[in-house]
Amino acid sequence: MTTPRLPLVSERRRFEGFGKQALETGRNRLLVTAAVITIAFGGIGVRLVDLAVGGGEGNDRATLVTQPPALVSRADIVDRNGVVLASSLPTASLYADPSEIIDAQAAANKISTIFPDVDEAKLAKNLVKGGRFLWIKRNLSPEQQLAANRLGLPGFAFLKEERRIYPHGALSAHVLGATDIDGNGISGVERYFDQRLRQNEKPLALTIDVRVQSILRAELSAAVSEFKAIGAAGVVFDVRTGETVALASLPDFNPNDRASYKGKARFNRATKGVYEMGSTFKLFTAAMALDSGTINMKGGYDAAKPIRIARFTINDYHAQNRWLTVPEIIVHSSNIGAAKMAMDVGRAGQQDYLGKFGLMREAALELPEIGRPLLPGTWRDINTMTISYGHGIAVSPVQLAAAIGSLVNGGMLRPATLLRHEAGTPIAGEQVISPETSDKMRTLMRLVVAKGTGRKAAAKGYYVGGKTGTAEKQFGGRYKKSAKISSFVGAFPIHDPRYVVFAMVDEPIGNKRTFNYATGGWVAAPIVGRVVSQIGPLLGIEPLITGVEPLALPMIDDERRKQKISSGLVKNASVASGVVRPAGALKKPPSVPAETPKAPVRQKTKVELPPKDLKDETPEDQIARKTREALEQAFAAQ
Amino acid sequence: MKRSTLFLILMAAAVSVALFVVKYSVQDLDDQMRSLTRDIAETREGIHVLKSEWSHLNQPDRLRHLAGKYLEVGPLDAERVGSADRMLEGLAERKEQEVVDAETVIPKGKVKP
Repeated sequence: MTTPRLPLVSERRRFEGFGKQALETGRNRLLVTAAVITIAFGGIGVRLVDLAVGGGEGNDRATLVTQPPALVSRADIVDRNGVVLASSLPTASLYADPSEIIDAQAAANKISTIFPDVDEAKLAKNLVKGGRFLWIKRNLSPEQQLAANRLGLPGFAFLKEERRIYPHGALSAHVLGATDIDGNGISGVERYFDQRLRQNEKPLALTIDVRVQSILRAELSAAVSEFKAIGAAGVVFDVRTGETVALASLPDFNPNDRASYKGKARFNRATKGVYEMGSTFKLFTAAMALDSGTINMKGGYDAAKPIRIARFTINDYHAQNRWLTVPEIIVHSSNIGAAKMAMDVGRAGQQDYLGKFGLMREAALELPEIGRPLLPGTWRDINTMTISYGHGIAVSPVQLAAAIGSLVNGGMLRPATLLRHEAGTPIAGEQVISPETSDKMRTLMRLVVAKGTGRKAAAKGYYVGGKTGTAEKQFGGRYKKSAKISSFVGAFPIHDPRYVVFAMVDEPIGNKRTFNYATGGWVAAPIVGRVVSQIGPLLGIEPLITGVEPLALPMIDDERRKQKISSGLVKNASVASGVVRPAGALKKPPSVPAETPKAPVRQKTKVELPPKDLKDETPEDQIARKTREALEQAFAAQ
Repeated sequence: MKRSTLFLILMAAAVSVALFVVKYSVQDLDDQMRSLTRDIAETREGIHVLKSEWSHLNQPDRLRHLAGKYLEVGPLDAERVGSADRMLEGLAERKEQEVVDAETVIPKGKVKP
């Protein structure tokens, strides 16, 4: 170790005398300075490379490729085909910072020239008052924003906001509901799915079809104006999935401008309103009687005399005053027959079935506006009787539509829904009546349209089955004859039902065209007929144009009598139409059948009035036909 | 020694020129991307607004009114709806009818107009 250092040591020794100490210090200082400079430049170099290559902002480039942020804070609502029903549009709102404004009067003047609805004097006053924030105008259109920007006023600025718009206006107002100015749902789907609409930017798909909705609403509103009604409601219900394809309530409101509609216009009759539906309930009575086996299609009840129970009398509106079969009870809408049928089923049975049809609890539809059905406090025999024909129980239209759906679709109750059914997912449902009972119900419903009170619901190419309902409204516990709820519930195509169509008109007034009738058959049945004939082709349902009844309909009334007489089964007409007749009706001369030529008459009755003729008959034809029918009936009753 | 110093100086100059070129091109690309992203956002917003407008313009009531005013077509009725099978049946019937027509017309020697 010592050997290599020898020369150095000797050198040092040489300089020793000349101030070795100072030299050492100078050398050390040089070394330190060089090291510091090297480190500093090295650091600068590294940073230079880093800046040039990395852009100086770290490694955030990868994040830019990911999903761009949501445009708006609230998801769209679309119909079943993706048509936008509600959307949030980004808008700009103009505000001012009064402390930065130099000339308040001039600014107010300029602002009022581009926004005529802004009061110049008031604005100037507010601007002078000071503060840091003042709304000038919210939700500007792009043109307005441009104009405001062009003014170049200091102290004014824009704030990005959103505005909820409903491109279809009032069309499905009661389904969609509305939002307040800050974008919170306050009614309808907007409120029910408020959280969902905020959290998930994917559009919310409803079951509504705007085309069907538009047809339903147009027909309802035509009926409202024709019959000077105070309102109407309608439902189109898919019996296979429970989807509510259309749901309308009139009067309605424009959700773009909800504030200017008050009171009734905001009331959803189709889901929130509960009504005594009247005769449409006879279908439920028949279904429970047939399903529980208390009677079969050939059986019947004596409807000759009104029922007197407690202090009530049950009468028939279209009184036949004789023994009626089950199909006849439905076709002639006999209250007496329905009441007797229900009594045989019994109070407990009736409650059980009504519960299964979903008529005793609130509908499960996805809306905040759902009405609770009104049921009797104590359920006596009189309640069982009146409920059998739809009085003393009040349900909402959407409940009724779903329950009727279960009668025609093979007996499955599908709860009504507003959320589009995704293909492949199971559909909720509950077997409430047997498929055989459902078949019978379809026959009965078809019979009402083919031969009964629902003829006006007939639609070209589509065989409709249904039931009319006319109920008097209660005011303070008393029924008022002049205020009616006229309704019709139909299903089509009745041989393989796809949709239930319900229409209800509130307080219609009969007119000349309807011979002052304001019943379900005159007011609501034509709505359903027209709706069906329009939506059938739209929804791609294949019509039957052969003109042959798709269901084998049982004979009713004189058809039944004539058929039995001609086949020689019975000789006496009065016995033919029933089993036991009350004494008063047994006055028929036995000679009547003998003097009528049998075969031609039967032929005539069979081919008489196929549905094809019904549709294109003129009012005159109709009067003639009605007269003829009345005469025939009178003749038959002789 | 002088030569190697010269070489190093040249190298340093070349590297810094390359560095600046790369840096500016990266900056350009960055700007380009930023403006593209902004354009995309604007276009998306435009599409969003246009979708609502499209829906508004396609209100069924409005279309019905316009069709009634300018077109000679009406709403579809049941007679125009059917399955492919039924159409084929119809075609077959029509062909048969044509054959029958031809057989009845030609032997009589009549001339079609």
